[in-house]
Amino acid sequence: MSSVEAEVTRLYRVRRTVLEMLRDRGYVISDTSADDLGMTAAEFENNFTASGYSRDSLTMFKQLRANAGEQIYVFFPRDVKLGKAAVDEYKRRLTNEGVARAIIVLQGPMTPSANKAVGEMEPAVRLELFLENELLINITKHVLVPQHEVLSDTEKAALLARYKLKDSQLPRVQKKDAVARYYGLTAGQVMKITRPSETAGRYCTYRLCVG
Amino acid sequence: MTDDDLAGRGVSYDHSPAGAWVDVGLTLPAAAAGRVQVADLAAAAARAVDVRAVPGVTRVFVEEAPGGGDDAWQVTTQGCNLDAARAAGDLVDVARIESNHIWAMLQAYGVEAGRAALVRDLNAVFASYGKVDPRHLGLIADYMTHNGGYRAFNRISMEGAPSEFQKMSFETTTAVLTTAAINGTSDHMTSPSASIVMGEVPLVGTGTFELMQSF
Repeated sequence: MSSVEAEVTRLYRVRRTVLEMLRDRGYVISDTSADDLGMTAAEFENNFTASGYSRDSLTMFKQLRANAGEQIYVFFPRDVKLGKAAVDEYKRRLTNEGVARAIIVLQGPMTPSANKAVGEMEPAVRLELFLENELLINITKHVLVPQHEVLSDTEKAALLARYKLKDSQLPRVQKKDAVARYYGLTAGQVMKITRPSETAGRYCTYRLCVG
Repeated sequence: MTDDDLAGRGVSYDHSPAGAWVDVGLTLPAAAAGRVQVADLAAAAARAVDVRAVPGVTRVFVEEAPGGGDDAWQVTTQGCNLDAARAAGDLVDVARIESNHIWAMLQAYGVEAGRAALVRDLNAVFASYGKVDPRHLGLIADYMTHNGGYRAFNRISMEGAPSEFQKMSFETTTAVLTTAAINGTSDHMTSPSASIVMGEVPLVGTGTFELMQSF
């Protein structure tokens, strides 16, 4: 396999994982449409080649199923090492269009100043960073990863009331945890985890996002 | 001259039977070529050879998987490189890559997968001792992954625990007892282990309350 073919295959997989991730987060993604998850590897190769191998052509803009006003951008920067100028450019674009959330799919580590620029944008704009390598596969499809479900604020309140708990009494999950990042969790959110259990068939537990 | 004479003078010679081609090799003293860069020769030789390595993996075995069927084959490696395994999606079923490197699993697949891997490995160890209730092992795994990371389950990680009896019931009873006596520490008897050590009903479940009967 030539390096260009390998690169196209990689990007196809990364794009598919990003779409599945957005779908699992509740964004409007079609499982069958050729624009979304229905696109085959061959179609992807055609489109990507026709665009002149431009990563900009992969940019996505999606909205939440429950609230069309909440939108998200996914950027695929050209630069192997993303710099501050590029981050500022994304920031301008998000501010102009009033979008509060974006995912950047990096080819490698960013420059320190770019990293700082990302942190400065919170909480007005939330930028999530993923490495291409991390998105080659969808970790939630792994046999050892149980079913995770992010609770809404009302569901969380109901849970704490039902067990008479403070949220600090729940088991925890780190914000930088692979699954927490998959669902884009922020500190204070709670995930419901349904594990297979030898004794009970299924066992539900909860983890509070910290860090 | 015969072929042997030629070979003695550093000349090799070959030709096709019908005389369609002739191949002559000349051997010259190294000085004739000027300087010889051994490094260049080595680099050229290395480029011509196909060698691949996966960092961290030292040996690879292709084995028949237990169970057979569609999954008749599995690859087992000595050393762990999950990134490399995940990149080989066209060769292996990436949803079933597993490792006994719990920390690597936890980082790559999240704390719940780390917990599941831990339970599976604990089970494998205890299976040889007969039946151990999975609740015990699940409890240990829950303890170790409670804060979202991976915490050791040993007396060193337990040093900061407030209950002296709990620490004594785990390991090195006399060492803990001596230290507690020297420092004059007390136990609030709220941990289940402390209650069991002292033969009391632990403050859990139906032990959390008492009944008063009116006669």
